[in-house]
Amino acid sequence: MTQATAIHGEKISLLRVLGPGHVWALGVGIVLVGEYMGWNFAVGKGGAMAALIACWVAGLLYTCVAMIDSEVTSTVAAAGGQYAQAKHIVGPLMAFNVGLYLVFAYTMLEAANAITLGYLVQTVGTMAGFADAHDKPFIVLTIVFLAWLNYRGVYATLTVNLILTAVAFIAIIVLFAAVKPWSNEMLHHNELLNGLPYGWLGVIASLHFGLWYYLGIEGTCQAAEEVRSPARSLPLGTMTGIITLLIAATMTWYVCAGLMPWEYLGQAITPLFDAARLTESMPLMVLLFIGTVFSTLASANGCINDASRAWFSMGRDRYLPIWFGAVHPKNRTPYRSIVFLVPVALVFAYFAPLDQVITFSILSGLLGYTYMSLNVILFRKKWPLDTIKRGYVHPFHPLPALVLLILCAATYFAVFLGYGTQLVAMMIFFVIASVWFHFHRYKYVRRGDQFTMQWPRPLGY
Amino acid sequence: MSPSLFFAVAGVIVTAAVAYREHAGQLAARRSLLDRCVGVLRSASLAHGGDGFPILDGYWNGRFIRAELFPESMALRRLPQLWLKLTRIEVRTGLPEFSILVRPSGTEFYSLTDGHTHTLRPPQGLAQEIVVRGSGPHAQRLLDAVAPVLAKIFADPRIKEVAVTAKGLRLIWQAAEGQRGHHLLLRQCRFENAQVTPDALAARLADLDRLNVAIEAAREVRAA
Repeated sequence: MTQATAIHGEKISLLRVLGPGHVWALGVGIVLVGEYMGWNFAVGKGGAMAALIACWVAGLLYTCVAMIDSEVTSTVAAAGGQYAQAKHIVGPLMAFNVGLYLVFAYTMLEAANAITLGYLVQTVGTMAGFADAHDKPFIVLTIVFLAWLNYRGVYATLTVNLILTAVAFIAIIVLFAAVKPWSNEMLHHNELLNGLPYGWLGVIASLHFGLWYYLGIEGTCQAAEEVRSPARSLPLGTMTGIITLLIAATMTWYVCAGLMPWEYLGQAITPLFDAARLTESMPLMVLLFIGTVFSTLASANGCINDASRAWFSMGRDRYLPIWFGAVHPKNRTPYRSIVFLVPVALVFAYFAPLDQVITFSILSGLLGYTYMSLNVILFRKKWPLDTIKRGYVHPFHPLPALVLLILCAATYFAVFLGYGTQLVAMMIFFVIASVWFHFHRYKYVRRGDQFTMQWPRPLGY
Repeated sequence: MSPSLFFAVAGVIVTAAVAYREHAGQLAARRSLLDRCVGVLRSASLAHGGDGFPILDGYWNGRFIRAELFPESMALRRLPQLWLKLTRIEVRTGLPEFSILVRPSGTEFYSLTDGHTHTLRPPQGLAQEIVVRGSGPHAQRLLDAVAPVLAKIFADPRIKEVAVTAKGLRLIWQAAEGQRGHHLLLRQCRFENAQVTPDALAARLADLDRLNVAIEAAREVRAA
């Protein structure tokens, strides 16, 4: 595919190896782990119907995220994502916080993936006759092995064929077809669905884990180095990803809600694998086992990569000690950041339950989305449409920002309903970190280096 | 051994074997990326790092040249890059130093720009997103004198950095961009069709020649 994009005011052509459909499927793949685990905690908060409503409302939240992110990313350097946006539009303190949100969201997701993988291996081990199988060694092994792979960089390639990783996506479709959704032979929605056991408050409470279906979808649009991201591909890529996840999420919900009572589904660690077990089909169990293993491994690997790079960038910008900004002379990886974050992931994966680890990841992501809604309002105010060229202009401004802000506020309330302690603890952590940055760390930051775009002076400055 | 355990062990062994084979294949593919460029340099010698990426040494117009390929995937939300680092050794004691980096993200560990402390005024006609730094205010005059040549060099959007130091000249050029799918799913750096052609290398060497001539001319004017 040849794609024309603008650079330096000129049009150039780039050869792309993959077609748009391929890119879309692969982009969704990395987020697909949300279908394999975590989403079902929403069922526990408000029942199966509440979880479905939360899933669709979360889809609306992410539509706003995609629209806002596409406009800002098509203008600010796409490389660096929200972290680079915060540096340019708000300032170092916001960038420091956004960097921390990213690191925590990724590290907690990595821990959640390791917990799921460990539990799955334990379950399968028990089924195979190893009654004494324990999940903890596999949790540690997963984190340490993937950290080692990331430490080694291009010296140690993860070269399992992409087709194998596509199994994670295909497995959900096969499971859907195998349970014969057109009949009541295997699915028993009439008996298992019980409306809204906690009323509409339960629906709001479910919103908390509804975000899990899509968390990180905005990060799947990877920019090229030599061009601003194409105006069309950014919103299109993310929107099609959201639609795909919405369909996959509804299918996942339909299968699981028809096979398991909500009391069990609401606290299951591997709901899709459990659904396969209930079909009593060995090939399906194997397929869902492989799907869960690959999706959690791919996701955890991506998380280690991205968290360490966010931490590394903060070190390079002197938001953290410059020591973290070091690159391994041979492997060319941010090795100190990788090693530093391993014990953080291990502590959470080893000692915290899955729902709490997921809550920390969701909260970090949620803080990032809240920032995005305020960021785009500031962006439009400081640099109105006619002052700098945008690759994409999102419609109905400021409606998407306001909808996003309202949905974020509702989700904070949802988190508070079930995980108030975690919410307060996280807020206190970020306040303390911000105070430390403002009064201690900021003096080391090279202020002149923060802003690299040749934009006009912002309005009102 | 139960059938399930047998299949599990067999699956792990087959997966490991496939992974090892693909890893070896990737290393082999990397080794040949500069093979066609050997003829461009005089007395050329080709070496390979442990990661398989090649380093080509030799002489061009009587000057020692090192061409080195290295991968980089440090920036968030950006595809991995394969950079060609081209160094021309030419000692000029006392020469004011400067370097120009385009589209900076703050993660360019390979850049010489970070080592310079004094920010210079960007020359006219260069890219919008640019950082220019030098060894001091005196580097601005040299920078302005060679600006027309720099504008021509940076007309190629694949140029990332140009550096002028007392030890020589350096140029960073994008040789290839990583495959989207492999990076999205497994954060891997895979570069398809990344072969550097002799013409491309010769063009970059000619860029360094032109920059060298401009620097010499600026020095002569200053000396006069």
